Amino acid sequence: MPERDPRSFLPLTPAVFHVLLALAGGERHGYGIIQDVTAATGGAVTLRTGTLYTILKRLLEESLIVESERRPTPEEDDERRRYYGLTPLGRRVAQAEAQRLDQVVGLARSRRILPSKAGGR
Amino acid sequence: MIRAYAWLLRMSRPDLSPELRHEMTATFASVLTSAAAGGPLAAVRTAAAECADAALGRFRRDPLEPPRRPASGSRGGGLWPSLQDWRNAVRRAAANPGYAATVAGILALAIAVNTIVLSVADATLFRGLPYPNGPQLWDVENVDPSGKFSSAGLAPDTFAEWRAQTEIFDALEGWTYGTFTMLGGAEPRRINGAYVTPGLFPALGVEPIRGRGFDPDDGEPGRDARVIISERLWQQRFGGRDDAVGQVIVLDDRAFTVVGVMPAHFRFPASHQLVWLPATVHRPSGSRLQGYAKIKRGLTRDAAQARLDTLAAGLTTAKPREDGWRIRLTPVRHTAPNAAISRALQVLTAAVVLVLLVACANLANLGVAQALARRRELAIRAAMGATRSRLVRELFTEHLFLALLGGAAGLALAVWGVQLAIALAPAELTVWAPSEIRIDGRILIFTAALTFTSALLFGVFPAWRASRADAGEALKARTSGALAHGRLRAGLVIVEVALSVVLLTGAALLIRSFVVLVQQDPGFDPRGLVSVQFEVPTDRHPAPARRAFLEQVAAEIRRIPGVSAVSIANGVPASGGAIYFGELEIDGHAPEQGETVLPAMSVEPSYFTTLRIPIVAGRGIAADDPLTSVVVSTSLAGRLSGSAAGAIGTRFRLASRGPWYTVIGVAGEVRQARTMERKTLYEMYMPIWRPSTPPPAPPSPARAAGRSFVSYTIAVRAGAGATLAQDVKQAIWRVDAAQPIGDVLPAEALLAQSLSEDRFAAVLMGAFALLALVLAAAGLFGVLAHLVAQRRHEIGIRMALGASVRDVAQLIVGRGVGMALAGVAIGLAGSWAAARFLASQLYGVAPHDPLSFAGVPLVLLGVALLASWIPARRASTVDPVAALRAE
Repeated sequence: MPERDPRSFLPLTPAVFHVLLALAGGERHGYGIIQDVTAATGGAVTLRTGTLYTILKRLLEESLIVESERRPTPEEDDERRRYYGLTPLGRRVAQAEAQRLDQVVGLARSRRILPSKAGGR
Repeated sequence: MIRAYAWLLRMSRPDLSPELRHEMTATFASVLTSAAAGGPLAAVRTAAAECADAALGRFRRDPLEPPRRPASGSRGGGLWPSLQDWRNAVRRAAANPGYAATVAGILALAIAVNTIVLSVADATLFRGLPYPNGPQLWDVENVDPSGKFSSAGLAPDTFAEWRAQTEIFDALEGWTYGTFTMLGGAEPRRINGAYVTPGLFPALGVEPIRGRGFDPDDGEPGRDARVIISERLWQQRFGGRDDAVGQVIVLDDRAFTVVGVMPAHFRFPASHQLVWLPATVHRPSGSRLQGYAKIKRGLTRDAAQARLDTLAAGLTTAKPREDGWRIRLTPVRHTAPNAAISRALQVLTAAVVLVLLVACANLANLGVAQALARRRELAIRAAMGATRSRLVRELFTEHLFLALLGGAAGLALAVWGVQLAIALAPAELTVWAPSEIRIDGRILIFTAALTFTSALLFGVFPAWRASRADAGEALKARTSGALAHGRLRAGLVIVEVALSVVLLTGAALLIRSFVVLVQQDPGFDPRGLVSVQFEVPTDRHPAPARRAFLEQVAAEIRRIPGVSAVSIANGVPASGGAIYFGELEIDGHAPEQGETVLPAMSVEPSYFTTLRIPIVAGRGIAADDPLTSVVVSTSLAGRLSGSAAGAIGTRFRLASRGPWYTVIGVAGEVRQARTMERKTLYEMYMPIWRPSTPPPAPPSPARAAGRSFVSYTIAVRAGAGATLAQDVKQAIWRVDAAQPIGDVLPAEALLAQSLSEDRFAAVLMGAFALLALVLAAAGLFGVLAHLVAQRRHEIGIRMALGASVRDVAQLIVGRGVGMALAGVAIGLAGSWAAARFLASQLYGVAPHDPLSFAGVPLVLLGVALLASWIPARRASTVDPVAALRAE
């Protein structure tokens, strides 16, 4: 099956992008994703359970993520919880979105909407 | 909480697998647990947000679909309009003011007219007693053994016996009307009041605002000189002062102590009752009491009725006078004073509902037309990525805005209109409303809901369809799909026309009936004739002396400059007199079956010359005629013997026990409004005086206070334009300063008054019909105008192929007339059926009056032609070349 062009998914909604970013840091279960997003954004973004699972379902359908076979140690394991991880396609989609945003940010800098970076890349 | 969330998910997310929902519930539990660490408030807030998020369910956009309108400024999904939508709606309404004004205007009119008429009808006809305990009270009706006849009111002794049934009733209270002469004001005054049993007000649940109610034994001898007054009288007489309680007012020459003041909203039984006196059932007073019963707690109405029926036998054997009569408990319904008035209100109610339906059909029509006009625009926008919900929401907002605008205007109109209606409506229609007539919230909501729904539904639904349509198709084919809309619109127009026909026919019948009434020769000369009505207390002027009193009064009036003739009677046409009824028996014939209603007037010999009523056969009444010598009207003479001349000398009587009357003369027909149906012009004139005996008693119910009144009318003929009222009153008071005087009115005013209900009904019906006609015409015009716009291309081709301007105009007009004809046909059938409902309102016009039934279709076809004319002209000016090139 030929793989879909990652750019066809763009632009991502902020919620989807955050879910992908959270999973880029490793496999996580649903509650883990919520915690990660809250922590990473300093509480600016709070994912709600219903929203999260709508996103997870679609991401699974589009093969951007998979359910992980990995289980934690038995004493930590809650058998109701499934773990999710990024597929290579999911990673490329997240990269494409990040590049798109980077270009936007670059544009903002060149128009002096944002101060130019102090140091080089 | 966790379980509630699981349930919510099951409801809102059937698309997710049970395992996934299970997992979500676990996640929710974790989220909630961590939120709870931040305190109970945070936990609640989180739970609420989580539940709302779950409830959103599948109605969110696909998270992987890139947002289509990042700049739209409104969130997708929901139907509720954003501020931006409202701004757009206002802008659109301003851009298309004709459409906006029409929709809002129709809504406002429909809401206002309906609310006004239904509020008046509801207050007068349908609402129960407006007192706190009203719902627990039952009307007590006296029913004959067959159950067919009932009489309102129980004889006092019967009343007492039923009242003793304390195992059936918690309370049985009664009342009856009373009128009194009140002294102490600027002039003696006749006022309306009522006798009530002392327990009635507590049973109704109404308390005086000042003082107290009656004590249980008020009304007994020695304790009967007490009165409770209305708030209105309290203001008039005592300026609303607190010391009014304990003061004395004089009613019928007796001093009554004011013990209480009832609140302003208390109208019992009608709004013109100013005083209430205690009635007692222990003392036979002759007058019947209307009863209200409160059934014993724990007893159902049917159980109570069953017990009453069993008891009836036992009770009635002791009372042969009302043998076999029993009482029946019926729901309390405040009845209008007579069937004619409630019928008139019912007709108006039905009419106004028809108007409402026409308005709804028109709104629907407008909505469909509007959406058709925007079809291309909507299709293009849908093709360019506007979601359906976006388009629907936009039209929804626009129509909601118009509906709110129209609703607000309608409410304002209704508030003002109800006051106007009360002012304009005949007193008979409004005085009986048991509670103040005001806008009824339920009716307002009902009307608004109906009109809003039709405006919104038909405003939005086409947008829904348009946004689904394939854009290419919508842009290319101008008629496809529009065809279905066209049929819908034609159907709506036909409905509008049909309903208008029903209303117009009704209006035509009522107006024709009114015209007949107005144009009818009154049979006497009302110009310059003044009627002076007053009631003479029998104890103040007992029978033999009363004649002298009245003749003295007449002599005083005769001395007023300009007065040419004066005559004493007990009424003048359209006011006063008595009504006799019974089985008519003509001497030498068997008594007729069925009741004959016979209005009767007691008159002096000078009556006919004073009123200028011609004597067509025999002679008028002479001073020494016995009471049984009568003059009859031409129609009654015809009924008695077939001809006026032949009737002279005929003897007849009403009921087998009644006196025999001998016809001595025949008078011309006089129009009178005293019998409700106005079907009969029968009239009988009898002498008012007979030496050494009291005059025949016109209806003069004995009063509990032991005093009665006889009503007299003095007919005064004066030069036209003379203002006599004050002179006449002074003349009477010169004879007896305590004599209250009723109305001093020109006979012409009396005649007009007697027609006020007919006029009111005819005017309202006419206004409703006109409104419906305008709406229907507008609907027809709209459909045709759109048709022309749509078929411009086709018309161009036709004209290019040689069709004449005439042919094209015919095409359009034919279409309009076709729709009108279909509507007229349906409407006529409906009118034919509905006319029977009107029959009792009509005078001198058959319910299926050919002129009305032929005229209305002509009017409608005329209007249809007019409404088709402009579109047809527009069609005929189509330039074939331009129309074809435009394609």
